[in-house]
Amino acid sequence: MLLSITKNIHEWLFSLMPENVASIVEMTIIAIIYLTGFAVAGLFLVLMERRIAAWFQLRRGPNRVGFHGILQTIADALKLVSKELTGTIKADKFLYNLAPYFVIITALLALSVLPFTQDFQAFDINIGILFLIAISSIGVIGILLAGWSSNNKFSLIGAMRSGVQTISYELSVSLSLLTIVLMTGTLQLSEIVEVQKNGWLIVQGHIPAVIAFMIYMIAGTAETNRTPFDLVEAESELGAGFHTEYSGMKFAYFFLAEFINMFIIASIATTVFFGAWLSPFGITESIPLLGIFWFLAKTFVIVFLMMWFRWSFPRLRIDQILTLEWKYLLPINLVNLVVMAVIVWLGLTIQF
Amino acid sequence: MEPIVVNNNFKSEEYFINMGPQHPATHGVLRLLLTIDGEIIKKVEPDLGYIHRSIEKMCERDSYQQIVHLTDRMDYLSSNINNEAVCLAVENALQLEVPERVKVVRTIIGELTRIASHTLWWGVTGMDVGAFTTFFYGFRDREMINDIFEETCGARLTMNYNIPGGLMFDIHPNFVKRTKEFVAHFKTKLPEYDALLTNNVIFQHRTKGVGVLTKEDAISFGASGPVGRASGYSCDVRVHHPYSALDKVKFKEAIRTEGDTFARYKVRIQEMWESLSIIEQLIDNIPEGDHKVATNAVIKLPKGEFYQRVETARGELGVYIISTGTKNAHRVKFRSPGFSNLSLLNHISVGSKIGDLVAIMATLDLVIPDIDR
Amino acid sequence: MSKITKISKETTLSSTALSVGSPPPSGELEGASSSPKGRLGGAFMTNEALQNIITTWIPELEFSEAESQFLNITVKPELLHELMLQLKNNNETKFDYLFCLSGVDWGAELGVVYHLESTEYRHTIVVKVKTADRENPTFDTVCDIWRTAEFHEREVFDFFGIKFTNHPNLKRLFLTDEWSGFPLRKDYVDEINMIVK
Repeated sequence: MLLSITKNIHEWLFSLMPENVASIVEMTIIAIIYLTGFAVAGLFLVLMERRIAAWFQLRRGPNRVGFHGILQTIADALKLVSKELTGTIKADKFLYNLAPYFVIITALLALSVLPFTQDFQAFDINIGILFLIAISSIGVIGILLAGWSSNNKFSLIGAMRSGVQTISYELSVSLSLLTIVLMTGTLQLSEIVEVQKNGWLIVQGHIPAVIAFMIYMIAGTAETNRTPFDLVEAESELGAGFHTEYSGMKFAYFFLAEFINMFIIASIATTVFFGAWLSPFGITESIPLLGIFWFLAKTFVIVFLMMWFRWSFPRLRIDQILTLEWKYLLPINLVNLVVMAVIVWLGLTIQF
Repeated sequence: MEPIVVNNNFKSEEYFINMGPQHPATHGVLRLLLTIDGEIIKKVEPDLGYIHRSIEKMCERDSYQQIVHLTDRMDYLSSNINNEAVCLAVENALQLEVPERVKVVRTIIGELTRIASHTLWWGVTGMDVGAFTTFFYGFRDREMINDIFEETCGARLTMNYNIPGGLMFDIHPNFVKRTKEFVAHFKTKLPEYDALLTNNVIFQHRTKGVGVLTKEDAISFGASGPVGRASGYSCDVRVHHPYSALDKVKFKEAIRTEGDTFARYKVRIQEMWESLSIIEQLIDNIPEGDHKVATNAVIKLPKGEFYQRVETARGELGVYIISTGTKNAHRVKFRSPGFSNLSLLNHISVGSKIGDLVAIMATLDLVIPDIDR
Repeated sequence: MSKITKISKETTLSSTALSVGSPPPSGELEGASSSPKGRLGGAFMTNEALQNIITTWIPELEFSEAESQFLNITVKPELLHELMLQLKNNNETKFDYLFCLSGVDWGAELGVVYHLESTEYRHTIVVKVKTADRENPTFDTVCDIWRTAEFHEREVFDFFGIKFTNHPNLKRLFLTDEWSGFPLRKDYVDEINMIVK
């Protein structure tokens, strides 16, 4: 159904105007859809985080603005838009202003390759996973720039921590995804989903896949700089870390990007481990539109998991974070990769 | 070919950071001048006085009844114990025997204050190491104590319930019932504290072996309260110099020997259990009687020097009054626990990371108005 | 993370079992603190015993028990450090805990009062040192003996203007460096900020 709508729009556009103009118009429409989705998702995630935090913390959370506080984050966003943009005097103005865009654009770019449902994917590129990994590493440049250009030592410490942490955990994210790619034999996300019609990859790959998923969750949480890996912001240590000197909309970009990154990490996990938009046991296979529901449902379960981490765990220390990555996760990951290779080679995967 | 010269003399540069006076981890207006090399702390120098109100000078001006109210504003988390200290000093000087009822009520409220202070401390300690949820759990239980206080004397924090000669009012009829309710409630909630924070692997890694204070140093630095006891130094004033009804109760002094941040944490958790036990021993038999003995409207202490030691939630509070026989004290000195505990901060935090410093400060449990008297 | 394996070895909580009801003194109560009972003559000492032993070290001291619950020693500034060192290091007295250090303005004289306790034997003593020199009062520091004195002496310097020789870092602690006068002295005047009744 959805397919026919998009196809019809596509054909209608191309019949109206010349090919070049039509593709530009089409791209713009897609971009607007994604941007809207991006903003709505971000606002919803912030609300969700606050409600879940409240639930963990014996509070009620925002519940006054709109039905059960649904409009709270919109009100917050409006407030942030109307706020004055402050900054430090001796900040490196160009980099200081550039940094938030780095962070937000990379978050947005990663969104484009996610397969929300059958054929509902803006950019089905044949190196999908590689693209995701590459894009998510660029975000850290924004954080480093923000910390460096703010002319604030606390920001700088936060940024340096972020650099060291993200670059380390990048390895684990990539390696754990690579473990799964061994089973699929392709980097293209739509094909990875296709493979999972015989069973989700976490089931197909059984033990090594579960290990890979655990490592992916730890490293993914670290990538998004959330507790227990939120040293970058570390309220009690650094004030607000790299975004101490940002206000108004620029701060909102960082804030939004953090939540979208969390969504992306969860989406990748959904796509790679839990069959993306495929329904469990194919119960709604006949209705492709429900794929969006399944995709978002799985993603939000994982997002909830990450929020659960955040509101129960204390924060690690910087040296402990690095030991965890280099002395534990990385060796386990490498061994896991070999185990997975052997399993795939011997055909020991579980297929339905 | 030219040999490649590697400059091995490269020295890592130390830099300087202002932590505070407005910083989330200093819990008030304490300013720490940190010298840092990367993440490693080379030197910590506290800069004090941002909220110094010269309470000692004001005490030389005011009457003895008025002094009591000033002490609330020192360590506001154990305000009742501070009040008690001055009242005890004045009563000892006047050789005034207060009724048994007063002694028991003072002790119960003192222990409730200690629990309230420790629950707040527990909440903010969790927050300092990054676990925000603890804050709300701590405040949930503290709220019940504050409600009891509110019903008893009308104030929730700065109580002013003690006066020289006894208590300002008799206890509220509900006091016993509500205190018992709280004890029963808190006994089920304290294990939750362990489940949420104490047994957490990350928390243990963050605290064990961090900020180690040896027993010799603890004594030399005048550490008292949980900070001293975590270093294996028996320094509970309630044990060594019991006051009020504390000589009638049995309790264990919580002592650990490791001297690290985790030990300080565990000592406070253990103290909450002991305080509950003290309250339980006293709450059922509060003697009948007056809630105060009459004193002169103008209290004049005999000429001499009087020293009273009490154990607040943070450690040993000393009240040193020099009287010349007039209605004002000649000199009042408060030996506050936080001041001595702060002085050892540099000693135990050099060489640790910034994150460690925050954890250390959390378990030193500094209350800044107590330091800046 | 290298310490991961050590987590399970949580040391058990040692506590002092306490039997209150009897007066607190003597090494009896020191269950947990590694108090070696009966190590060369160490025990709780009464005020007379303390006075007797201290007189043998330095004869020219003034002792007083009037108007105070402790034994008071008044010592001349030049003998202060020597006396303090003895009080701390002597095996029979072992005053290792300086629990209070206060500056006092007696009107004519300025001075410092040291409250000492032995954590092993639990006897207490008060040492006073006075000087009539209000312009430039100077005493020896004791922060090489008790490290807690470092901050306390800075506080006394801040509020009474008493200088401590050999102090490693003697500067204003609470007040700003450019503050004039010493607020806790009796003759301090501040017409704007002080309300005098």
